[in-house]
Amino acid sequence: MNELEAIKGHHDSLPGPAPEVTSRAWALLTEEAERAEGGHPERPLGRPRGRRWVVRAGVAVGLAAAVTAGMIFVRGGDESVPFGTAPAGAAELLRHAATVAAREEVQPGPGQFLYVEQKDVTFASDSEGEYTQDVRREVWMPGGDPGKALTRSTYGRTTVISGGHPEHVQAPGTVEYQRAGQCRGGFSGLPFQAADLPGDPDRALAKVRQEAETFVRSDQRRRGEAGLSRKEIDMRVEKVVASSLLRLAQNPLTPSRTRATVFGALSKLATVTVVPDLTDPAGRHGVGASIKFETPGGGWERGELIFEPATYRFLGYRSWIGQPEGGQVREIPGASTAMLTVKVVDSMPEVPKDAGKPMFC
Amino acid sequence: MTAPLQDAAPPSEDTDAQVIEASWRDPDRFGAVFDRYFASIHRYVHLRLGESAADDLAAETFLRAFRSRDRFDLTCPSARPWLYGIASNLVADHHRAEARRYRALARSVGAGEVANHDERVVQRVSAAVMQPRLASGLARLSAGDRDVLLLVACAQLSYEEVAAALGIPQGTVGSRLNRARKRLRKIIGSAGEAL
Repeated sequence: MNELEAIKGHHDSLPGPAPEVTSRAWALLTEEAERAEGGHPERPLGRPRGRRWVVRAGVAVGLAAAVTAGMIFVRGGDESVPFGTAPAGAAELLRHAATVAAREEVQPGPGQFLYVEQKDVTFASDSEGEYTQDVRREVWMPGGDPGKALTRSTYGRTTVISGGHPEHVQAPGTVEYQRAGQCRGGFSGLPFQAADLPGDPDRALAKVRQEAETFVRSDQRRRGEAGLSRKEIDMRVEKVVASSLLRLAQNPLTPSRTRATVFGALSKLATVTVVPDLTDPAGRHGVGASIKFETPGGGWERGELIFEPATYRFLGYRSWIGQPEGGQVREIPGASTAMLTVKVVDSMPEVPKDAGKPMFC
Repeated sequence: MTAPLQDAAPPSEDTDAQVIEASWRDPDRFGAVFDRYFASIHRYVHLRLGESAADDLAAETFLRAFRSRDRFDLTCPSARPWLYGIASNLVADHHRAEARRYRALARSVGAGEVANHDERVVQRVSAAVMQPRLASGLARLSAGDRDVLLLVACAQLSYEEVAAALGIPQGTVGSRLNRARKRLRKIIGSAGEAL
């Protein structure tokens, strides 16, 4: 190791700013911006509207949240996390997770890449039956040019749940590359993104709920639905709120501070429960925060965020779908993800010249 | 029901220059610059002056950047050199404290040498303790040489970017860096231990 590497190594091992430090600095900047605008205290400094780092995968809500592979730094003060202590409930678990997430920052510099490796298990069904398939997914996100992001998917085994063996499925060992921008459309995005969220969990939740209401009403008009009851509208709003927060929470490209806010917002939902032992797709046991919400037509969905019990580090995500069938509701698996690696690397692979277009594009 | 794997959405993000230009008319757009770099600048100042100072000076860096955003050179797509330059200028006002910090780290990494409780806790639980020989070497560099060395090592800025950040010619960057590395190697070597 030379002297430059030694300095860099020490620098990179230092903890990022504590959440309250970031909040204070943000508040100072907001005040300055308000002064610059001639005073609009009701209008906080905006998050970057251009930030749309969303890499999607899986059936229900996409990729899992980023986790720094490095050390968890323990600080004193009000935000201390009692590592190794079982949380009293889901709200406490999520608050601890928020505190830990806020301190995890993986920031690629120019010429570097944020590298994410995860194991996804996707669920699909077709005329042949229902099946799940393992996929190892890797993402390289350039620090200075996210428009050049690259995803590599390596397909694994298929597990038949019902029916015969599916025909339209990638053979194990198949590798697909997908460049950012290569596969446009095909995703019914929810109405908010990480960039739009205020830092305070209460305000973030209020904003998500407000935008969910707007989205649901607009969706209702688009579908030509009239006369929906208030209860039906509320149910749809809660579904959109929960889905949106879960999607942000598990997205590895969501900034750590925003993920912390999202965990904080989820902790405010009365419907979240704690599950003492859940297993992610990589077989790691953790403590879970589970949220279940109704869906139109009498079904439901359940999302489970899984955290390492000793540190509250995010491990992965699972989802389940309750599908009404013949007067009963049948539980089927949705997407699940285990977050394996998040780190900064200096290069990303070349896409082979003979690489075909991704199957689902 | 078929539930296909979905696509990797095209992440699109304005360059720093675009964001800063937009913030001339719409100041709240500057929030994007804060989001992108606050943690990096904080870590850089933390290395140089310690965490408590970093808490204040990183915030001050962004206030100064915001106030002078109309002077940002829009031909530079990245704001990093500009921000690190502001941070380095702020650190320069504390160069004696910086040297004291390195000397303290060189003498000992024990609790008594560290500024506050938080830092002691962090240092105990992390690998983030600077090697004493490295600290000793940094303490003995001139402030100018140290600026260049740390901008290259920590911020990974190019010579051109360091020159822009510090307002010095590129040739000076090269000579300062060479001198700093030589001196550092000599000090580290004389301690008889490799990094």
